[in-house]
Amino acid sequence: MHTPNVRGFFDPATATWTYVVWSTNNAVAQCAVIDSVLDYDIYSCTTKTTSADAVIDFIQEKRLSLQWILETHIHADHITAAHYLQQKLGGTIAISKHILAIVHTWEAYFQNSADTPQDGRQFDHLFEDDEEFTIADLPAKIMYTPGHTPADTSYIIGNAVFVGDAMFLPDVGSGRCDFPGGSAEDAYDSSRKLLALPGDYRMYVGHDYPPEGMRGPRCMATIDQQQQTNNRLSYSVDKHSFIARRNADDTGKPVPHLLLPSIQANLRAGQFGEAVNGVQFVKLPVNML
Amino acid sequence: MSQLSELPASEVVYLDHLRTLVVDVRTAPEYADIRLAGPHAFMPLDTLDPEQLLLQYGITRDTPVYALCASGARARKAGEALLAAGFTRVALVQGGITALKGVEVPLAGPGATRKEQGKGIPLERQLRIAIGILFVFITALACWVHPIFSVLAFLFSVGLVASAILNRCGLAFLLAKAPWNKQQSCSGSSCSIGGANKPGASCQ
Ligand SMILES: [Fe+2]
Repeated sequence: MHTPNVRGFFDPATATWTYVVWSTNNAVAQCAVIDSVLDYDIYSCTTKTTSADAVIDFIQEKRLSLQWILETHIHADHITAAHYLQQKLGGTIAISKHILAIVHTWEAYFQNSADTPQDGRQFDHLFEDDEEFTIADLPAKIMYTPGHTPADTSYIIGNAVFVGDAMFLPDVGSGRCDFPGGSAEDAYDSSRKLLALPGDYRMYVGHDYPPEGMRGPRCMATIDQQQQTNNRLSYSVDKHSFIARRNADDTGKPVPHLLLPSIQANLRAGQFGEAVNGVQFVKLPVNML
Repeated sequence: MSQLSELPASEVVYLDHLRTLVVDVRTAPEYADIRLAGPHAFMPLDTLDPEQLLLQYGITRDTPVYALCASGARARKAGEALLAAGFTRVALVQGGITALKGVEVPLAGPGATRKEQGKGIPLERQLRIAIGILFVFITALACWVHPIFSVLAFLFSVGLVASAILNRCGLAFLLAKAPWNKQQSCSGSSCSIGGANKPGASCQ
């Protein structure tokens, strides 16, 4: 089985892991970037490319070319650098076809159909469920893993699986399920699909929130470790108790600070929408959440 | 095999956490007490596993890695183990966490705040010392100068009772203004580090 090379970049401001994935076969120097971050300051409405530039520098140092720019879901806590990466390095921006439902849901909030195509053509490719593709010589496959949002997708690449917020590391648990269309029941079912992968597969998570004073931010646990020790979703937790605990914990939870800017930009693959005299805007709908 | 190099503690604040990794190799209790506030790896020397370091922290063998311990001895051992495992850019942090306490680098944990308070005596104790000295002084005046000074003791006692009831202490207010009680204040709009780690404001 192919073991891909993985380099993770942790953004402490949003606790997000961005991954560069490429083949150990040096002859094929193509890579994928999963869940990139465009740095954004909520108060000054200013973007920075510090995080994305570290990824770009790495890709260039390793003399890789960027083949795929992948998103596990429409993030609600950070803005994707997909568009910026594509401008700098090329590559195909791809996401699950299920995001069309998310585009539709949020149109009611943002009234944004003018600059956010409802057919998803702002993404270069919309994956079907279980669609197979390759990153250079690495076999890759889509696994539909909804719950955190109704459109979360995991990417199985060789013997690694990139799960976004479907599951977190064993001592953290799993992603919240209270966003529009999110479902604890779906999250449980998705986790069972993921945990059915071979035990030695490596699961890479989309965020890490390390318990205070216990460890630094990490990115990976094996399927075996997740089955046995995930504090919300291990094999010893039944569906009913997972749902009860998840829903109780999500009740009354504040929205992520960057929710509104993130969602609207991420629905455009990381762009800020139509400009007026060269100026782009972030829309903040009043009393809609 | 590459050589183990050394990084002065004062340089740690300039490390780019996106391009390098500091590996804290102290024990769990030491780590719980005081540690770097920014992103880093924690892997005690006795369980140091170079392969797991690569996998769990998403680095490659050519990522610059800085080993950190209490003073530098364990970091040297850890650094040598990483070099032996094929890491190519390994250094140790000179003087370890002890040296980091004396330089401008954000630290977290109870030990990090103790650093500032440990330099002086807490306000409550300063207050008791000040009142004690005052009463020694008043007693001396009343005994050897004139008994009328005992009125001062009476006034002070009434003042103490009043301050306890009102929970307002003029003396503490004055002491807090003393130069030795001045602490560096935070700049910017927020003093919290790692705001994303607060559950709720995140995807957790
Ligand atoms: Fe998320």
